[in-house]
Amino acid sequence: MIFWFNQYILRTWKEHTSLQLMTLVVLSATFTIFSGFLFIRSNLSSLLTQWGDQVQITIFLKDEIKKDELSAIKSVLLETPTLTKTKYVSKVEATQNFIKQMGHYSSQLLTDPEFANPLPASLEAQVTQYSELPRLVSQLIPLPGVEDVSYGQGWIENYTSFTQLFSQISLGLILLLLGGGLLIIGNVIQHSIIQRREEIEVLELVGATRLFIQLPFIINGALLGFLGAVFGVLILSGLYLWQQSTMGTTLIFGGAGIKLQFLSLLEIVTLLALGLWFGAFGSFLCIRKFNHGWSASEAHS
Amino acid sequence: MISFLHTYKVYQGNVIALRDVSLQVDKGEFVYLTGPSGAGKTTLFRLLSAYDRCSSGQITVANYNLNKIKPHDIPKFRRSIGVVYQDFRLLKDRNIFANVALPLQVQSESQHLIQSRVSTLLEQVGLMAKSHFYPSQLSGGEQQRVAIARALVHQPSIVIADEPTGNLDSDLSREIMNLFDQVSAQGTTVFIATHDQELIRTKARRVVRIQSGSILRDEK
Repeated sequence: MIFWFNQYILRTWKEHTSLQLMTLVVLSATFTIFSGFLFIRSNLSSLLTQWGDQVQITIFLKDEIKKDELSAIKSVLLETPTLTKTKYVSKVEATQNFIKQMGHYSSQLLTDPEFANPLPASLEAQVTQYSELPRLVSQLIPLPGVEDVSYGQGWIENYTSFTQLFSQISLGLILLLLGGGLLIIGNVIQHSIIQRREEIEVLELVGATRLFIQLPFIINGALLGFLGAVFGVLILSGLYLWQQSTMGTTLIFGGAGIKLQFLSLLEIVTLLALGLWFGAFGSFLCIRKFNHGWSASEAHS
Repeated sequence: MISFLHTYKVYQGNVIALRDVSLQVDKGEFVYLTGPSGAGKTTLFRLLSAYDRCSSGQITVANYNLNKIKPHDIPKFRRSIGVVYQDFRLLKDRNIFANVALPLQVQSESQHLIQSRVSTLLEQVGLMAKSHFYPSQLSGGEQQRVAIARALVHQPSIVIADEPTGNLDSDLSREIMNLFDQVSAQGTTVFIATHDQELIRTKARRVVRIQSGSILRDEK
């Protein structure tokens, strides 16, 4: 049986080389775009992880804060597993920092007897997981002694919204591409069925089962899908290597060096398996209603 | 082994090809089906080989009721019979060996068995030397012999042939009929549709005569 299928696949590729190759080119392009989206998506996600150690949270304290209230805030921070650093900044230090930033415009400010220090004391903390921030903030805000909490929520939320939007758009485009790919595979298999109608009739008449007749078409579709995925990943890896050789291993984005990561082994294996399944499924959709045992009589009645 | 009961076959446009045909053929019998062109021989042959379905009546072949046969039983039925089609129905892109091997390949038989059975049959039909030829490289008579070898290679319990000597000269016709005799001697039921009266006269066999879609005579 395996010998028969091998012969069938070889014959199909030999007799319809250009059609098979054209299909392979289109499927390779589809899977290149698909894996490209996956690559960008996973790098956008890892960007926040890489920037995680720079995420700082500032807890502004009330002027009348008591010692036990400050301790309660510190203990909440210390219970956070991804906390890397905490620092208490007093009202005076806050003002000194402010003066440092303002330069010579405010050098006399601290010694001015009329100056009432409006800056609150604060606790500065750094965490490595940006995703933990909203939870941590929601724990801190209700605590007595906390005036306000700031963690650059604006850019993180905007960035998260951007990655979500990108994911949704890319998912839509991928579905569209895969739909087109299914049509192409279906078209090729349909062409093969028409070309081999006589052979299928003869196979029916000598007692071939439905599976025996359908399986070579499904295997051919699966092979096309698998090879399309392999070439897609290879093209993407070529582009990745080219980017590395021309721009270096890091990209400068927002002032921070970001390392681009290629697809993980799991992602590559998933892509190849998807290609295999995709090709087989496309062929199956085309051939599932074919060969009910009476093709010959219907064709010649 | 073969049973037709009040069988009708009506084609589109109300063309009646078979009319109330009833026929019984026992295991191991050798039967000729004869009649003029357009009498219904090929239609009866097509119904018998499950190439086509009847319009009404009942057909039973090798214990399969062909009116009610389920799709998954059709391959099993077709494996139990050997059929020689008038137009041979050989695969043009496969060589002679591969064509004859087809019924064994669809049954997933071993390469060793395929090699041995196909070689034996090609020897018997005198085409071993041309086993690597393609159908287009053979004469009509040679293609017919390939079709016969393909019908016999899986050792079916019933062999059905539509004009199996139609393209052969008298010597080759005799050889082919001898081959069918050998198959019949092994207990296989043989059912041959032919209009070759000379062939029918050569040996005393049961002859079913058909005309205008009805059985005219059944001479045992």
